[in-house]
Amino acid sequence: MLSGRILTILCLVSGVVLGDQGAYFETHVRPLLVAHCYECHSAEEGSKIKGGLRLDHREGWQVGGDSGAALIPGNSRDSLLIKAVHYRDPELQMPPKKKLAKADIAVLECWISEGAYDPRETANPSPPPPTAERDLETERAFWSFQTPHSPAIPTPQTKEWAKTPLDAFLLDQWERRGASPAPETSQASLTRRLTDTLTGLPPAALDYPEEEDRPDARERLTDRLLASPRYGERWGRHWLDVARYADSNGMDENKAYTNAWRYRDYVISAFNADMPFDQFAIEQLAGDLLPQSGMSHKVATGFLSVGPKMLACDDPEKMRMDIVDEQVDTTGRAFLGMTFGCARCHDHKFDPMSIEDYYGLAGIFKSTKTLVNYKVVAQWHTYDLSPEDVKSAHREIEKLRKQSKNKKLDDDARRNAKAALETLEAKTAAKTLIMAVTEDDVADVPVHLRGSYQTLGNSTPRQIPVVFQSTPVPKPNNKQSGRMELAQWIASTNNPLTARVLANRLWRWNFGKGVVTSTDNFGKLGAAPRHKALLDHLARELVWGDWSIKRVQRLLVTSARYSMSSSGGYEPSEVDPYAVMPSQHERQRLSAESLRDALLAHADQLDLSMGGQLLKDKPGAYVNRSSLNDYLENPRRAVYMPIVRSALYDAFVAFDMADPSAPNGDRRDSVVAPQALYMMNSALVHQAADRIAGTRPNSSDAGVINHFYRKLLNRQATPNEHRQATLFLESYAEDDAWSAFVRVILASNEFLYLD
Amino acid sequence: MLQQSAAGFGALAFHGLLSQAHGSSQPLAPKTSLIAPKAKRVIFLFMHGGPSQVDLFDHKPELTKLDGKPLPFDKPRIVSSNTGNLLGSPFSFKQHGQSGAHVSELLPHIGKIVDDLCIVRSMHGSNSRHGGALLELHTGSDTFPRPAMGSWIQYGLGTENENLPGFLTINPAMGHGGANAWSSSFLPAHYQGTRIARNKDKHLQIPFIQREETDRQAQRQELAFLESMNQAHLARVGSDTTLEARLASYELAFRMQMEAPTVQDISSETASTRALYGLDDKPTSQFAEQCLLARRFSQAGVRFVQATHRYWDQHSKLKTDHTRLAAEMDKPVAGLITDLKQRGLLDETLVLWGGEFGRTPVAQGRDGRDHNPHGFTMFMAGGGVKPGIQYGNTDEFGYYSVENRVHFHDLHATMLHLLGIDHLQLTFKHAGRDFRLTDVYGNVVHDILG
Repeated sequence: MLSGRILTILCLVSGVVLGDQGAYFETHVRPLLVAHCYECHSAEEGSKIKGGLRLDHREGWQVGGDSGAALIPGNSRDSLLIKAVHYRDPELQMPPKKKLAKADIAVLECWISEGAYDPRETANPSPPPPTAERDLETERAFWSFQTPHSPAIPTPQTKEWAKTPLDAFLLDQWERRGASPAPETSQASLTRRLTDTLTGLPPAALDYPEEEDRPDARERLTDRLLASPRYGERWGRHWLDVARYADSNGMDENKAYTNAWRYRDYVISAFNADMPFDQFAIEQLAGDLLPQSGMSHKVATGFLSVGPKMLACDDPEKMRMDIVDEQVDTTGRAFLGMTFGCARCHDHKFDPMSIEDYYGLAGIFKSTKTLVNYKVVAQWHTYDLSPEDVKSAHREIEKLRKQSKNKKLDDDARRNAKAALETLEAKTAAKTLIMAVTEDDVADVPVHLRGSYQTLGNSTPRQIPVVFQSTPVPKPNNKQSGRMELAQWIASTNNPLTARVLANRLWRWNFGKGVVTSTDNFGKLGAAPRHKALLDHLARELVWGDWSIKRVQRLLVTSARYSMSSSGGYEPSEVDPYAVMPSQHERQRLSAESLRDALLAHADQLDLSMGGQLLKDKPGAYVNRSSLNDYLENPRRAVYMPIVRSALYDAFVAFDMADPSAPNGDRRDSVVAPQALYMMNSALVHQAADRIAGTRPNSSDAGVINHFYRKLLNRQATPNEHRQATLFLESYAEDDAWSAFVRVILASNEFLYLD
Repeated sequence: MLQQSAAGFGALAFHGLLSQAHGSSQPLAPKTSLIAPKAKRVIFLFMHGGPSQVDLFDHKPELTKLDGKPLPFDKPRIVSSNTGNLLGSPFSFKQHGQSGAHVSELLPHIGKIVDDLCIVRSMHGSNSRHGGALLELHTGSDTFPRPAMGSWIQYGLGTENENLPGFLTINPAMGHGGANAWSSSFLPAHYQGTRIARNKDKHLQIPFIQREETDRQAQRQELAFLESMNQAHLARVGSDTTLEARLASYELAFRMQMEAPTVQDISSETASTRALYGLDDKPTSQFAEQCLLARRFSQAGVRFVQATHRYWDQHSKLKTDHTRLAAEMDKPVAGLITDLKQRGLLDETLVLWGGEFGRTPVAQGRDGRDHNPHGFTMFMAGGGVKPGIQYGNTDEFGYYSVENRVHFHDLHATMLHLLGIDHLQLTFKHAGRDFRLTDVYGNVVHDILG
């Protein structure tokens, strides 16, 4: 920065006769402001006023813009305007396109140092446009903001088809369109469908007795599958997509979230235990604040911790607010189908969410401790819930470790310490560390204009967004962050969104497409419900059933809808694909995880032990090696494979695994060539096929062909298929024809899709 | 306006991928553009770590003169490490070519081709750490994961060769965000970048592209049998575009595994080409192979090829390590540009060179420089940029970009413009709003367009 002495010289150089400030302003300052500043900082017609700052009259810079007064008369060094034109601060550089010439900067410095004389009293000021009063009542009229009522169950004309009320809702809509439901699918394909829906495994992997002759066979199979621990692994994975679960932070230094697995296991066991969803929501957002908060409650708040984040950022405030933003956005999309993140920089362009609403929520998460520091590299918060003896043993270990390296001690003492250290380490259990959040200092957060903490506006109270306050909502207090109040509101039956969003996801995860196809966006840019009464009925069912997911799950899979064939019904037209529900099943491909588990299961290799951590790395270690793909060779179920955000499994990515960086309740279903290459050339497919081929019974070719059709496709081979297979086996150019035969079945559409 | 294809590829006919037809519902089909495109493809030579502008391209006599003196103005508010006084470049500079561009003695080969280069000396970004800066450069954001620029470009332009992936990244960094730098993120999966890494035999290969042990004749039989099974299944269940698409995807995969190995095989290159890149010389052979592969893939129609060279992060030992790194990179890069030019490909191929940031003109420790996102150099060649110019300036020491400043957002806007895409129009709806590669920023740098 230029010193005062140099400034005086420059002022002389530019020919100013002190005292003639009016002339100086007119000849030097005004032309500069007009040429370089007015485009964005004047009320001229057609120009936008950027940052709220006007430089076209005196009061404009006196009041200043979003960042405060633009200049301090007599103090050029501390004036924002001067800081900006010097380009020393990367966030404040004006004019943005090109730095002013040195002589121009000197003029401004001179002008301000000499008192910033400005004759422009009024410079055709026009008042800022009045902020439009928010019309909350109109905004609340949007369909998803209305509390779901219990729609009357329709009585369709066809009497014998509907088995559940939800069938009646569907049939009613179809009848109005003149459509009729597709016929029932075969028992074999229904069994395949059902086991995959509920467990993510093929029937052969479960080995339940066949009871197809019993009239209640489907109900009995459903009950067995719902009771199987495999159910929680399958359905927990759906929620882990929504919770954008991963085992590393993934955005920069990529450190191992070595303890994140406890959250994953918590989710799996919550689904297995059919934890009521309202409880599940409260525990994930505020489990640590429950009256008798135990280990699993704290583990649950890992939901807020396991997100993608920068851990190496030189700007601690940016790091912190980015993490808060990620939590606001994820919570909104995961539980409410609301894209709150859009309101970080300005009012939401489409939904009734103001920037004040956003910072009302941001205050809740900023009052929550996710990281314990904001250094480079930052460290996340963990609880040490080890038993007292383990804790003290670890303290002793640390002490011995120091002694064994202490140069002040003699060799013997060091050796003894080292021996004691090794003995103690060998018999001491690892610490029970939990990656989860806790409370931080409680404070409201001011609005961050344009999303920047450097341009702060008014303070906003921590609260539920105003549009939802038509019914009484819990209010955060000054003693806690407000997570508990937010969680209670999310889990309350007054909330119009939570039950609907969940009911819709349950539909999506059973049938391949949501009633609202934009599962994570129930705002104005989301899709309209294809059958609102059906969705509301399901949402009410959830609430009536005390938020039991298994209860609604049973309703869905025992419906007539569930057993429809995937052809022979009505498909909505291409032009208006989402207006109504199709009257046939929507064929679904095996998920990345189902496919990989099926390969291992058929090869008798799948290890069904549950839980725990496969990632070998120490807490906080860097996980950047490219050998991470080797984890796929582990025989455990896919849900237990570590997810390292910076090195996702090529095979899983190809088969549409959810991007673990953002909540996702609606995986894509793509058909891309890398999937075909994977089926043709990957070691996993070849090894599985070789093993499966090796398990063939000792019988005729016809017997073996039939064996594989039953095992892999759950049906008998037709005579024509026998002929084709025999031809293939006889003419195959290599020795291992059975492996090739199995590979072809594994790559076939019938195997990859559930009809 | 480009239409998004968020409905899911499964719902779309696969023919789009196979035909040359124009249309919005066919995600990989070549698309027409509103701006006349100059470039068809991009080759991005990424210098991971942050090469030092004041030791390579941005000649600063004042820095040499005031070596050891304090910086006479403020350092940035946010820095990644403590730094000391000014550190003059230990390397000498010379002017080259008609354009008279200054290039350091470390880059003799690049020095010879400066008249083909558009050297942008006024680059700046917003993040002073590798991870954040790398994501900002590759995706336009350091706030949360977004699609990589290669994915956006494929989304905007479709494919030129359906037998190859449209976005390849050769030997990328696994740290500092790793896969996020080639992820399609919320864009559909067919815009995902494909990572080419060295396999167990140290060869650079597309994953799963072939299986050494597989006999082609036998595989053809398998695919024929598979097709008959799938056709029979289709006849049973009735018409289904997704199932039909999968049938076609096997044909495509088979053609890919025929074509890709040929493209990957550099043994057909002549001795003079090998020499041009320095393929058989010790310091250059590895990056030469990457650059040569990049040319071969690009020539075969891959829209966006990235080759990464590392690790330009000299917090200390600037002199030795920049010397070594420059020696590995200089000849292959000059070779690539010369080769493209000789083959008449440079006009339609935009080559981009640079790191995630530059380095400070002030010293870190005795002989190092810290990260500096506030002013650094990148260069472009071909693809419709003005050749033989140096654009923009940093201050007299090379710390801050001060004249004709070009932010990463502006770079992205300009790249898209050269490819015939208006960056304001290339949008995708996600999580409640329209997203762009340039977020809410970006200006096309018209001054550097040819």
